[in-house]
Amino acid sequence: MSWWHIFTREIKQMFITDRRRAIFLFGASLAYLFLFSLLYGTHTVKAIPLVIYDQDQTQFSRSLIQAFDDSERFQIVSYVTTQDDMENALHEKEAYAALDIPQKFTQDAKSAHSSTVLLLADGSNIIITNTITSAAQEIIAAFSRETGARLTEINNVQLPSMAFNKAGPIDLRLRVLNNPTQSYLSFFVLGLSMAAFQQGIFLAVGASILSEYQNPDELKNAHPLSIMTGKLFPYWISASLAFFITVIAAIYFFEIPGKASMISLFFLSAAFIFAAIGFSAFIASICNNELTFTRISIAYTVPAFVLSGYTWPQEAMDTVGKIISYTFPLSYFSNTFRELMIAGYSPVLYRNIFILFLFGLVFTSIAMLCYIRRTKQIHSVPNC
Amino acid sequence: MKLKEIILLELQVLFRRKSPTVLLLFSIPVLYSFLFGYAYSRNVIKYVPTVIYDQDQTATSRALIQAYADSERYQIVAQVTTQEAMEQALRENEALVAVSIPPKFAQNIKLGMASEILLETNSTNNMFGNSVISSSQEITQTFSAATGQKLLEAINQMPGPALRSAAPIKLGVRIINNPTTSYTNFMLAGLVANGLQIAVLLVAGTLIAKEYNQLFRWQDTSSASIIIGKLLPCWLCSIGAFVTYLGIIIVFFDVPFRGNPISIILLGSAFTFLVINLSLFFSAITKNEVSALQVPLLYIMPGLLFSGLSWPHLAMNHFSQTISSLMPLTYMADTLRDLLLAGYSPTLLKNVFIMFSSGSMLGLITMFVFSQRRRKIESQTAKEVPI
Repeated sequence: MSWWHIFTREIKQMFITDRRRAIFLFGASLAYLFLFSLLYGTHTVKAIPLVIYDQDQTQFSRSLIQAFDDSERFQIVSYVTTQDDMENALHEKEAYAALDIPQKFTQDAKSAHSSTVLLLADGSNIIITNTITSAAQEIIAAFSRETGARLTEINNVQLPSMAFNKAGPIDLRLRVLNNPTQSYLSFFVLGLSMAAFQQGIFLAVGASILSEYQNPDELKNAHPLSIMTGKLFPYWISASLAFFITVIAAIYFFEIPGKASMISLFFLSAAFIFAAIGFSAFIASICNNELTFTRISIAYTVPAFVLSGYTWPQEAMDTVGKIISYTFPLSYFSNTFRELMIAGYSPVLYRNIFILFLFGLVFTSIAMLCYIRRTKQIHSVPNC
Repeated sequence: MKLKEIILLELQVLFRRKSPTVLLLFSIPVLYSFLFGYAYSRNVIKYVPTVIYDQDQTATSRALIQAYADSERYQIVAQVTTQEAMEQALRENEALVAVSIPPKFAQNIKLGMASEILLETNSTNNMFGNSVISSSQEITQTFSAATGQKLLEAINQMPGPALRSAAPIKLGVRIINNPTTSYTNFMLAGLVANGLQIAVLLVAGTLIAKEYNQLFRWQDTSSASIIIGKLLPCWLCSIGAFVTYLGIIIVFFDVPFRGNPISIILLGSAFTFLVINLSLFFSAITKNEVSALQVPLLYIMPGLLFSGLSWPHLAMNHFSQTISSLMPLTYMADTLRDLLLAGYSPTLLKNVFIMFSSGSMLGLITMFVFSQRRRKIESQTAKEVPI
C-alpha cells in the first residue's frame, strides 16, 4: 500500500469511520476558546467588596472614602463602627478589603503630624490582593499629594502649582506594553485554547496509531515510512486548519489581539503540530491500549500547561521546574504564540521553531521504530 | 453477590498485583504536588530584569536608580544610553522593565517644577506586569516623599514637618491570611485537588462502562449494590490520596495548616464523594471505557479555572457563574484554601452539604441509568439466545 492510499484511508477514518478524531482536532481548541473567553470576558477584577471603618467621621475622611468609592476597582459594601465588625466582614468574606481610617485622621494630616490609613486585604486569592494593593496605593498617593500640596500652600505661603510640585516632585508615568489594561482575556485564553489543541492532537493521533494494533494485517505490506507519512500527514494538515480557524475565531469573535504575521504563525504552528503529533505517536506506540494512552494524555494536560511558563514564568521556577518545563513541546509554543499575537513579535521565534522541529523529528523517528518493533511482535505471535 | 463481596472484589481490582489502579489514584496527586510545589517554590516574582536609561546622570537620578537596585523585585541588567537600545532590550526580552529618567530630572525638581520618570514594562505575561506596577509605585512614592521633604526644608521647614507635609497620609497595608502573597499558598492546594479529581476520573471513570460487556457476572446482584460496592472502596482510597497530598504540600512546601483536621477531612470526603459519583455517572452513560474518560475531557481545565480558585467569582459574569456552579472544584478549592490559610471558611458546611447531596443525587441517577441499560442489554441477549 502506498503512502497516498494510507493517507486517503486515514482521512476516511478521521471524518467517517471514527469521527471522534475530527471532533478532538477541530473541537477542543474552539471549545476552550469559547468557554474561557466567556470566563475572562470581564478582563480584569473590578468592584471588589470593601468595608469602611471610619473612626474620624469628618469631611476630610469622607472625601478619602469618596475617592475609593469613585474607583471602579472597589465597591463599598458596608460601613462598620467597630474593629470587630470590620474583621468579621473580612472573616465571613462579605468583603475582601477593609479601609480603617484612624481617629484624629484629619487633625493629624492637616497639622503636619501625618496620619496612617490602614488597609486590610485578604491575601488568599492573590489576583484580588494585587488589585486591592495597587489600586489603594494609587488612590492614597493621589490623595496624599493633594493634601500635601494644600499644606505647603498654607504653611509655606507657596503658589498652588509650586506647592503641588514640591509636595510630590516626582511623577511616575507607567507604560504597560502589549497588554496595557492587564486584561486576563489577552493574557490567558490563547494558552488554554492551545493546551486543549494539544490534547485534541494527542487523542486523535493516539486513536489512529492504536487502531493499527487492533488490525495489524491491513498495513502488513506497506513500508513503515509510508505508514508514518500516510497516517500522520492528514493530522498535520487538519490540525493546521484547526489552528487557523481557532486563531481567526479568537481575533474576530473574541476580540483577542492578533498582531502576528500569518507567516510566522504558520511556521510556529507547523513546527508545534509536528512536535505534538510526533510526541503523541511516540506515546501511543508504546501504550498497550487506548485506555492507557487516554489516561496518560489526560494526566499530562495540566502539568504541561502549568509548567509551560504560560502563567507562572519559567524565570521564576527553580531548576527542577525549569528542566521539566524544557521537556514539554508546549513550553516552546504557547509563550511565543502569545508574544506573536499580542506584541506582534517574539525574539525566540526561530529558536523555538527549530527546537520544536527537532522534537518532532526525534519523536516521529522513535515512534516509527517502536511501531515497527510492535507490529513485528504482533505478527510473530500466531493468531494474535 | 452481596455488597461485602463486591467491595472485596473491587478492592482486589484496585490493589491487583499487575498494574494496580490505586497507584493512579495516589500517584497523580503526589506527582502534581511535587511538580507544582517545586515550580512555585520561589513564591513571588523577584529579580525582574531591568534596564536603565538615565539621561540625567546626576546624584539624584543615581539615587533613584539605587532605590530600584535595592528592591529585590528588580535586577538591573544593563544601563543604556539611547532610547533605541532601551526599546531593543525590551523587544528582545533581555529586560522586562525599563526605567527612563529624563534630562534635567534633578534640575527640574530643584527648581520646584517637578519631573517625571517613565517606566515601561513588557506585560505579555501579566505576572510581571502586576509585580512591577505595585512595586514601582511604592518605590517612586517613597523617593518622591524624601525629595519633597528636602525641597520643603529648603524653604525653611524643619525636617520632620517637611516630610509630613510632603507625605501627610501614609498607607499601611496589612494582608491577612497570606501576607507575602505567596503563589504556593495561593494555588498549590487547589491545583493538586484538580489532580486528585483527574485521578478519580481516570480510575472511577472506567468502573461501570466495563461492566456492560460482562453483565453475566452480576446476574443475582442489584444495580444499587454494584454501584455502592464500586463507590465505597474507591472513595476510601481517594480520601487516603487526599490526606497524602495535603501532608506532602504541608511538610515539603510549607503550605500553612491552620484549620481543624476534621473539617478538612470532611471537605475532602465530600469532594471525593461528589467526583466519584460524577465519574461513575459518566461511566454509566458512555459506550466504553475509553469514551468514559474522553467525554469529561472538556471539564478538566474548566473544572479548575471556573472554580474561583484563581479567577474570582466576583469577576465572573452570570453565564460563567452558572458554569462554575456545575464544577465540583468550585465547592472545594476556595474553601480548602481558606481552611488552610485562615483556619476558617464561612462556606464550609454549605459546600459540604452541596457536595454530599449532589453526589447522592448523581449516585441515584447513575443507578437508574445503569439498571435501565442493563435491562436493555439483558433483554437483547435473551432474544439472541434462542436464535
